[in-house]
This record gives sequence, C-alpha cells and structure tokens, in this order.
Amino acid sequence: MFATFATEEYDNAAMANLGVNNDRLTFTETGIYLVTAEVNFSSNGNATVNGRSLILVANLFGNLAHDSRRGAQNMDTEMTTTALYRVITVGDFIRVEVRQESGAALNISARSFSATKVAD
Amino acid sequence: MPGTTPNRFYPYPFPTDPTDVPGDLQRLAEAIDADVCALQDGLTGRPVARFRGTTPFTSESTARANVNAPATPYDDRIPFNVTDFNTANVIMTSPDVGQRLIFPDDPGFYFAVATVYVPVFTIAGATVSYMGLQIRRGDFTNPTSLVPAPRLGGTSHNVPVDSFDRNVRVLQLAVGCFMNGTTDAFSVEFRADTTPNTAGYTIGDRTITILKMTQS
Repeated sequence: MFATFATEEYDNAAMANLGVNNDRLTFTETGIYLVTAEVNFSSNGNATVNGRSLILVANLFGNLAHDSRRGAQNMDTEMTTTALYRVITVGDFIRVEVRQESGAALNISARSFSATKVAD
Repeated sequence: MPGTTPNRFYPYPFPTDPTDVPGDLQRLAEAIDADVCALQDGLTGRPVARFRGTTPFTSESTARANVNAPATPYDDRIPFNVTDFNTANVIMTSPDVGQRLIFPDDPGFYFAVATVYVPVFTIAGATVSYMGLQIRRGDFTNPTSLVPAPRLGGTSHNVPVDSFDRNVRVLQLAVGCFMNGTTDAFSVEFRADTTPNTAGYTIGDRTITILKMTQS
C-alpha cells in the first residue's frame, strides 16, 4: 500500500496537491531530482516479525529504490531511502510504498517525503 | 547604428553602415567577453557543508523505558567537532551536552545526509535489540528546550553488528526539509536498546553533510 501525507511543509514547484492525491509528488518540470522518503513502522508486538519494506515507486509500477530489513517485535522500525530520478515527462509522479510481513495489522506513524531538482 | 542579436544583444553592423572592421570586431569581442564573465560569475557551486565527529560518543543508558522517547530532546544528540568544509553558512555549535546542533543560518530547503559508524557491541552477555539513527529539528535559540524536537527522518536496525558487517555497520540517513534560518537546526541522534540494560552503546566516527538546495 502507499503511504499518505497530510501536511505540505514546503513546495515551490507545485509538486504536491494533497487535496487531490495525498500519496504522491507530481513533477511539474523535467530534469533530475533528488528524492528521499522515510517512514516509521510502529511495532505491533506480534511474535511473527519478518520484514519491513520501503519502496519509492515512479509512476504506476517503476521501482525506483527499495529498502527492506527485518523488523522488531516491540520496537519501531525506522527506514529511509534516497534516489536520483530523471523526469522525462511533466506529470510523472512518485509514491512511497510500504510493506510488512508480520501477519497482522501494522501502523506507520511519522513519515516524510521530498523531491528537489538538482539538474536539468 | 549597429544591430544587436536577439538573445545576448551582441552588436553587429548593417551592410549600410560605414565600414569599420577592426572597430566592429572589437565591439563584438568586448560584448562577448563581458557577457561570458557575467555568466561565469553567476555559476557557483551549491552551498555545502560537512561536519565530522571523531571522539567516541556513548548513547544514553539502555535502561530507558521507551527508547524512542528521550526524556529530554538532547539526551541522544551526537556531538560533532570537526568542520571538513563549509560554504553554506552553517554553524556547528559546541559539542557540549545540551548544544550539539547544526544550524543553517540562511533559510531555504536543505538536503542533509548523516552517517554513523557503529562498531560491534562489546559488553559481554548483552544482546543488542535495537539501534537507531535519527535527524530531528532542534531549536538553535533554545537547545535544551523540553519541547520534543520533530523528527525529520530515521533509520533503525534490530540485528546486532557482527562479522557479517566486517565488524562495523554504517548507519546512513538522508532527509530533505525546509529550515527557517532563525531557529531550525539539525539534531543528529543515536540510541540503542540492549538486553539486559547497559550503560550505553559507544559509536565511532560520524558525519553530517548539508546541501542548500534553494537559492532563497
């Protein structure tokens, strides 16, 4: 599933429109962008722990960056990932996908997501 | 009266102008020279700074009930003591407890990358169940404020560092965020939990690299 966001902290390129799509940044210019995302998986105490994954997804299916690791039964698991993404078409977008394999519901709490243009 | 090119306004003579080849070439050459110099002056590198910590730092006692909620925001703050380079007008505060903030003096959107070298935990009989690196937004004007500092990003592991890591694991964390240039400062924090509780987890070298991404 894709993480959603509620607060727009800074946006000088109209990339976020949380009232329309609260799960993505949509690029309004072509170029190369530095993208970073971080999420905090809460713990659910489940004896089955297994993995947690954080994935940057470009457009509908593109796996831009992927971080996964074993979670913790009684501790939060914090993850961050960074990637350079080349935007060829205005309107391309990126989202933050989260996965977990504890076998029970698991919340994510704090999370953030940013993109900044670094080259044409 | 010469004409000028439409974009850079370089001068050129019309066929009907009096012939003055040396003068026309000089005016064109001088216009190009001045224009290129002006362009070059406007091209500067992105402001960047990197700070490094070289002295051992030991985290708070792992007996704390909730490892993710320090009693005071600066309990876990990592000190830095070396400036590798700094063209971004970023201030590194004192490594003393209650300081340890990295303050960008100019407002704008910043990208920050922190790394921490985490060695093997060497206290016999203790098992590491959590280690985490976080970047928080502290208050430069009130560094010991008890108001919790908002978290900008974090990374955590619950697998102990061992020979599979070649005996050192580098925790790395990157965040993009707006800093207001008046109070907002980066606070890099490390925390750990062990079973049984121990006095703390000692880490090695660490860095924070800061790039200013916006021009204002």
